Amino acid sequence: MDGRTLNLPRDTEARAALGLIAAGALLLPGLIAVAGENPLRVLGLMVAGAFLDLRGLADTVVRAIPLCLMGLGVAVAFRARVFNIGGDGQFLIGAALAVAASGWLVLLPAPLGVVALLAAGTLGGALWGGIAGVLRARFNANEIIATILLNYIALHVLSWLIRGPLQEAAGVFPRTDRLPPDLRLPMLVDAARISAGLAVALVAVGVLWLVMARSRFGFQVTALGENPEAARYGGVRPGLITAAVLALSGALAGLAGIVEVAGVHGRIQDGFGAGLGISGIAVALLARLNPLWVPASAFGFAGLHVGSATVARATAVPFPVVNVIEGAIILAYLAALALRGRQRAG
Amino acid sequence: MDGVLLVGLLASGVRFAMPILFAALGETVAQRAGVLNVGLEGIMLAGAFLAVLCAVATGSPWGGLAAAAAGGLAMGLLHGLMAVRMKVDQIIAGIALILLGLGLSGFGYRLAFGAGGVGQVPGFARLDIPGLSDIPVLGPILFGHHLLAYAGVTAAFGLAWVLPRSGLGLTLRAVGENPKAADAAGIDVDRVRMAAAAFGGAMAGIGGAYLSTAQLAGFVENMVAGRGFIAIACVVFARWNPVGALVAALLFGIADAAQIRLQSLYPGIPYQAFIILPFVLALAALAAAARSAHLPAALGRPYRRD
Amino acid sequence: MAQPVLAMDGLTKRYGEVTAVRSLDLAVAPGEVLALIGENGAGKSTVVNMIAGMTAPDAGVILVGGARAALSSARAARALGIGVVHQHYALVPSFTVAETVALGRVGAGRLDPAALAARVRDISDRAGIVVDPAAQVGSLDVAGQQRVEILKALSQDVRLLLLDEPTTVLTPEDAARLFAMVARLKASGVAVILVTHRLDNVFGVCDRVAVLHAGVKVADLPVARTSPRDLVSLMISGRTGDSGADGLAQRLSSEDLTLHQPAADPPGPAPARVPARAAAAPPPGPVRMGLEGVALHRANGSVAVAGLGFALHGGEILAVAGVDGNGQSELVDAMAGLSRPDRGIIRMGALDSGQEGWNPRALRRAGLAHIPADRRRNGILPGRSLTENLLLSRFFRPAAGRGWLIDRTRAEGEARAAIGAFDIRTTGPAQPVGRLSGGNQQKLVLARELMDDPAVILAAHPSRGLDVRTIAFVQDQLRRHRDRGAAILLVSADLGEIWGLADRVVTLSSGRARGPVAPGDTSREEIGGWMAGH
Repeated sequence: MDGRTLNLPRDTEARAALGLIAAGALLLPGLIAVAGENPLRVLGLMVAGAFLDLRGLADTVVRAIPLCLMGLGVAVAFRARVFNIGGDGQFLIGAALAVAASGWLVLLPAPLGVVALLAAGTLGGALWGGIAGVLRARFNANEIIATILLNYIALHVLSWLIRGPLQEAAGVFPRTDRLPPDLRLPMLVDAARISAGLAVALVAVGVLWLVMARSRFGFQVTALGENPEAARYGGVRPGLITAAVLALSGALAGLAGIVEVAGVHGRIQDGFGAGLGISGIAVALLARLNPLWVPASAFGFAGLHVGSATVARATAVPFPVVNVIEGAIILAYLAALALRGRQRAG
Repeated sequence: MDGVLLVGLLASGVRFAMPILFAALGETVAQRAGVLNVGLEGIMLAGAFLAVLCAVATGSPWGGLAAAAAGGLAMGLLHGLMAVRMKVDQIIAGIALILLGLGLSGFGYRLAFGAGGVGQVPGFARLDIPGLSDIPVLGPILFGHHLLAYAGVTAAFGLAWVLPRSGLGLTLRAVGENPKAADAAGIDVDRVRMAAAAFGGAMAGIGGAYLSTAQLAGFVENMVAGRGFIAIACVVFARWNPVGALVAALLFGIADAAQIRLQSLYPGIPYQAFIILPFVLALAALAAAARSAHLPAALGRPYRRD
Repeated sequence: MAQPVLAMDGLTKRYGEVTAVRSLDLAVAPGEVLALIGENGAGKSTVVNMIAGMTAPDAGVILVGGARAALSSARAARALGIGVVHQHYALVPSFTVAETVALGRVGAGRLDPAALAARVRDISDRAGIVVDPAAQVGSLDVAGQQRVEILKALSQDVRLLLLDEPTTVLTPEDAARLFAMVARLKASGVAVILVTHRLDNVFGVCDRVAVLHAGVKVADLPVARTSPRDLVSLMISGRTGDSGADGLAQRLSSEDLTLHQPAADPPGPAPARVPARAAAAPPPGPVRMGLEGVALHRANGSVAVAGLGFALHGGEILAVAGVDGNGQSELVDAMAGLSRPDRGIIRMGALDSGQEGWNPRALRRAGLAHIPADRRRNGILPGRSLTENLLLSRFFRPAAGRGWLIDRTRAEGEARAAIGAFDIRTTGPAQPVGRLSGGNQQKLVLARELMDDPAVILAAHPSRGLDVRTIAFVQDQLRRHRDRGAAILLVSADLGEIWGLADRVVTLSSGRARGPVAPGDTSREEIGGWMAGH
């Protein structure tokens, strides 16, 4: 229909979107009220805990680093409409591979060792993402399910590693030994425990922006996500790009994993990095899959996590409220897109 | 492995299969109508929690079941509202449901039961059919399950009839294969899809209820542990066929039951090697089935006129 | 005149700022066959959708049998005795014919296969249509699927049958069968509205003709009182005797008239007829692409083409004529590297279809361009800018950038140049292509595919769905590149276009190929007969 393809929202769509946003706006205060707290006070605490208090602000930045890297990975994949939901698994395998290799990497001269460590984490994530990529490219296996299943497999593999081959020398707790100091990321702000991971994340943002907006590869990723048939017609090899996108997405998650180890904890223990993957999805969506917006989005969600932890400590509102808010934010984002007559993220 | 062990394995395999089966059947119907909900995991979590909450509150597992079904229905409708009415990305809306289910169940659980845990949860009684349950080997495997298990198997065969042989099935398939054709035939595509999404949600809620009040007795945060995704893998593996979904769910149930037994049989092997068994199986099934699968042509695509 | 079966009174429909139909008054009586004609975009489809209950008018009323009707849904329209056969069939390939007819007309309960089949036989007997109730719809050919659509429309008591462009995809023989059925329905008192852009249909079976131009009815008169020339002029300019439209009128109308109406008066000599070749055409050049014994299958496994061979030379336009669905799209896909033949071989330079590297990118590097039949499906990225769309199919060229990066500045410059050269109506290189009109989208595809002066051009229905001016532009572009020395494969179902452009013609029908033959050595009747499978 010539000239009539403007995707203006239909009345029912707009009504549904507005209704949903209104319901979401009532849901959260309602939940807080159910917990017997004053919504305004909780909101105040949340914001103060995350952003207004120096200690909280530092925690937020520390938390934003892995979220930013994970969010970048998700943004790349979702651009191609490749739904990588396996960030958690790629994060863990990346961290595990790098820690496993740390015994040899420590022999390298000082700055090289850290670089090689980060590379090892990146490689681990890329391999784990690449498995789903190959399954999708060769067998047309749905990547959503595949990456999720690989998450559970990774979780249990890690559980074995920290109780078996990678367990600390003392053999008491299910965790690895600390990385040697030479392999730790240097601190940028010592008091706030903000490591050079921040620089790694910001460099990754720049590189990813360049790749997505300016490179031949990024063009193919975008074309594939926009119209797979047109992409194939235009010379894009869909299988190759899909597999590459999953590997790249996994690589970023793996990098996030080893940055978290080398920059914050120094070791891997049970429960390490739990839930970052799905938060990374929220980060990427709110950034509209644009690498340049990912850091800001990651900072916001990191604040949500830190603020929710503050709230959970100080009030009767339990911590999982953070997941409810993340879910509500995604729904509200989708509703806003529907209102603007856009069907696709990004 | 001796006979008694095998009988026990198959019997618990049937039990373990049920939560997956319910969710997979609901998803089969939703997907045949063109609605792809990847948020089953979240709905099952909410269902599992609501079932425990309301079973304790009402003193009856049926109260819990009804609450789980209603909660699942509401979440299915929410997904339908996004995916069908607002026509946003169905996959992303499903991801939001995972987060909502995770958050709401964890939130509610900590609020309602705190650190003390649930305590005694009224569970489903086994339906011991005198005579039948006593048949050696077959008795314990096929009979002596909860009433709900029979309902699940009946639903699978019922849907296997409804989809190809009834007017309702014809309508559902048309909406999922070519919504334009259905629209031209005077069918309200969005309404049918909303109903299918609601049904899918309710069934996932029931699956969650089975998990927390029949298979286990109580709620633990994140207790669904991937079953929602395995259910989707079942749908694909079964090529959108309800009886196929039953077979696939049984396969996973038995694999799940087997891995627990294998852990104790082979203490020398890290137990994690067995835990990942169902997941590896699901991955293999996905790769094996997807190549030749004929998926509903309009799956995941919102319908608009013009 | 008897009480009209259907009457439209002041019907208006707007889409955003575009008024698709403005204050339309139109009526059709029992036993009358009304032709509704107009150019693409004149508003015909909107009228169809309003009558079919698929679109609600913004103003005006529709009266059915004299009573004001609320056509809020397809079901409501059907309940009032309105049967609609849409241009694009809405069928479920996996359904049987019986299931298709039952859809939307049965309750939720058990389907009785025997009763459904009996019902299909009953309707098909009455209408004189032959179709097997147990056949799977996806296995039928285009004419068979149309018969299923007609069965659907007739499956209840029909007072009005609306046929939307029913002959576009039919062979002359199938079209004749269709019109025989229309005559039977007319005799039984059913009113028929025939929406079409083909004048032979109008003069063949219709009693009255209404012409839409830019959403406005510009004529409504008995067929006997008009001429093809007047109708074409009305369609193009909204008035009769438009001298500027006259040449175009002849180019458009002569094909349909001579093919099916040899007895009708030809519209005079054709001075404005464009010669098949430019006067100083270059001699046929070297073979650029060759096919030997090529066999192709459709997505559903049936044979699309069985044993086709020809050589495509530089400096020629080789037309592949045929009714849609006779293997053309499979042929183009294989030649474009999107698929491989089952048997036989396709060669282009050093590449051949037996090689691992037979893919679009390799072929494009070797100088292939491809204007796809369905640009919305695989020719454009609707959400992306003109600049980016001009990079699709060219992003891998060394000149598109340096190393792994794309040169954005250069790409934007190219986009500006293309907008100027191809007269693309846009707000600029950054505008998303989905916002352009169909004609401008096609110009964009053309600009992209032709801008690197390709050696081989696959042009599938390059002018389909375009307005008359854009069609002329597209055809001129193809001529220009032919004269430059490019080898062009033109897939078309329009004999007028083929006669105006092609140096040689191959026909495809039911998997069999005829030709190639030069248009000068054959007649339209012969080619038309080949297309029909004779």
